[in-house]
Amino acid sequence: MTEVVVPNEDHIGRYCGGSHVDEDGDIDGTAFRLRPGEEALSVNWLEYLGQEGAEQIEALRAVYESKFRVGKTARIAKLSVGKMIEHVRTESPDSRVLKVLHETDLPIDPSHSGVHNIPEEHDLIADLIAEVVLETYSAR
Amino acid sequence: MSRTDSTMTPQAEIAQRAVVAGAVLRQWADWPEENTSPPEFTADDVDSWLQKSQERLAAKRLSTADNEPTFSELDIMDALRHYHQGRLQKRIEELRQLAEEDAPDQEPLSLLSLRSFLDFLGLTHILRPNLVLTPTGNIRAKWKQVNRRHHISLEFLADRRVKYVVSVPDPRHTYLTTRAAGLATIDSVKDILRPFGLESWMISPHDSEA
Repeated sequence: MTEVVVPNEDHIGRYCGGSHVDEDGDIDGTAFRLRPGEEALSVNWLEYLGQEGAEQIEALRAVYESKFRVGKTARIAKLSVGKMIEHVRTESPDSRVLKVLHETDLPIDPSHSGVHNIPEEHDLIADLIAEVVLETYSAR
Repeated sequence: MSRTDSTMTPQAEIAQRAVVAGAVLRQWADWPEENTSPPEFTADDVDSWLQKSQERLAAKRLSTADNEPTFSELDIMDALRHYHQGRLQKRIEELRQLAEEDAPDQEPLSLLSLRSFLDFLGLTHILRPNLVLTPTGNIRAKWKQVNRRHHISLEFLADRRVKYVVSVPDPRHTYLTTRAAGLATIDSVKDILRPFGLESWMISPHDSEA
């Protein structure tokens, strides 16, 4: 199967549970850590969901609602694909190059994507991703 | 069985073990009082009953711990009340609830992590950290500056171990960021992080050691 790479100019959204949002409302790096058994960080390709920012976020909320119980304090973190890749590459000790692939999850989550090439020990990488969050929105 | 008296006859010893076993088992089953008389039982029988009763007791403790705080967790939460006017305790209670809200993708608050965090608080006077949970339920304490890229973070693991991430301004080129990550113990992490300017980030001026 051909890999579909999410373009650097586009954006991704990541569901961030309330326990990863600090007391100042900032998304902590723990929101970008892989869970045991995961190989890629689960995200959504926002431009796939719509043209406008507000339209994208509304569509993403609907996807979450259909997939799982959305927490009251959960947030959506919006990131630029290109900025995230560049920041991790320039700031990580091993010049790590992340890759964002479109991995559709039909029928309910067609914009689903994954951030790949995250190492096993990735606390620092996760913190680097959190540093380049552009905006956050309520997840419900 | 060390609780028996060495001067006892074998029959008396069996009788005493049976009484002990009966007392324990009566908590879990309708154990007839008259069955504590010795002739029907061997010492092995009684030991086997005691073993089973202990296993049942342990199983009951585990099952009740699933959804309710254990006594030791309550002790830790009570001890936290004494730090930073109870604000740490309040935040951890909030995180516990948030973890439940995000289950099953989020593991519940780890008691072992909480214990290490409390032990760390006992070692040094720290400025109040910003607390979050890791996906595995560990407590992560973060001290940050206005620029959110700069922080020192400690994730508390079991057995007094800690994972740290440092992102601080380079001392000679402050427009650049110095970064480090590693594993240490709560006893040594202060010394390891001191070259990164630990004092100004997380140590209270009241700590005479720092």
